[in-house]
Amino acid sequence: MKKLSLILVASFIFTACSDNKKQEKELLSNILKVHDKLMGKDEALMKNKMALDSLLKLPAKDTAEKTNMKAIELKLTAAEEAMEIWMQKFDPDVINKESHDEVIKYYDDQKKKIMSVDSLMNTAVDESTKYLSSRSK
Amino acid sequence: MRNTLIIGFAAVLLWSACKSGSDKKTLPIYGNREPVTKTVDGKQVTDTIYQTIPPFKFVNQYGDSISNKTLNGDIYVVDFFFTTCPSICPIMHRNMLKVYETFKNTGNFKIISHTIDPKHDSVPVLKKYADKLGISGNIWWFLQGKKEDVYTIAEKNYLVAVKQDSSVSGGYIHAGYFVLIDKQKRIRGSYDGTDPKQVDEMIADIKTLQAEPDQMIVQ
Repeated sequence: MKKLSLILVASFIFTACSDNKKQEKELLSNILKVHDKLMGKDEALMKNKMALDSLLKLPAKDTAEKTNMKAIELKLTAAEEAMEIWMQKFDPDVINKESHDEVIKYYDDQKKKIMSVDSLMNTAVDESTKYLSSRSK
Repeated sequence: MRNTLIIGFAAVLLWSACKSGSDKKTLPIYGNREPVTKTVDGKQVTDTIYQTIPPFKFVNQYGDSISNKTLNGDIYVVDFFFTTCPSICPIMHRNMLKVYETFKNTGNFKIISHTIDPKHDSVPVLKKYADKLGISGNIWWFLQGKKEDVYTIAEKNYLVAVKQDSSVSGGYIHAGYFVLIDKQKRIRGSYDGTDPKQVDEMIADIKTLQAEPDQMIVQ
């Protein structure tokens, strides 16, 4: 009987642990999904930035227009830098180093951070795409 | 009866296996192409000009300058990555190691991995990354350059075939592709670098390319 309860306790601990790991892995994979999506967005960002760059190199007639373009480009650069900083700081290996609570805390925090990069990028890319398509009309 | 059937089946299998083995496979040529008509020995001949990789200049993990000319006469594989990439790059480069091990002693073969985060991935960072992978010598280069230059050459050249094939819009540079370039700097294949099966396919295709007779080396 005693043996049985021991086995029960052991298996309980075991499932608890594997549940913890599962939760951690899910969080990580969520973050990585956003990251991969943003890397795709980064391509659109670079494309728009280069297009704006070449427009800015043209001799300007309208300085207000140029200021506007520069403002749009600045937003792209800011979003790009935010993404770069996140990429360089994010440590996926935390999962192997810290306690469960620490890992969850870290990933939750990182998820928030990458979501704010996501919105920065979306705004900057959408705005610049809109501007560029209005120029090409 | 059953035995005969099995033997018969095995024979057919063997025959088809041998047949496909002896068939000379040629790889398609991707990218834009245009026909040109020229006069050779008084006769009009129509030839096809295929898209080739244009001149470029980057720096490798040793700080050496690498240009399109450095790769003259080489078959090479290209990919795009960055050293802090947490998702697909470690898988891609684990698969690329197999390619490296297979061809590191064959000559006229290179692997170039372009970083898409050049601000962080400086020459020393790339060297450290190469060391960690166990890469030495001059077969596999990790290249750094202007981000604009990397994105332009990726989009306009290396990944054109991927874009033609794919129904997905946007985001190819971080999609894990390996692109195979022949000695004439033409695009001969694109593979999902995260899929070991496709990487094996690429290894077979590189061998096919190596067996291709050297035509004129362009540029």
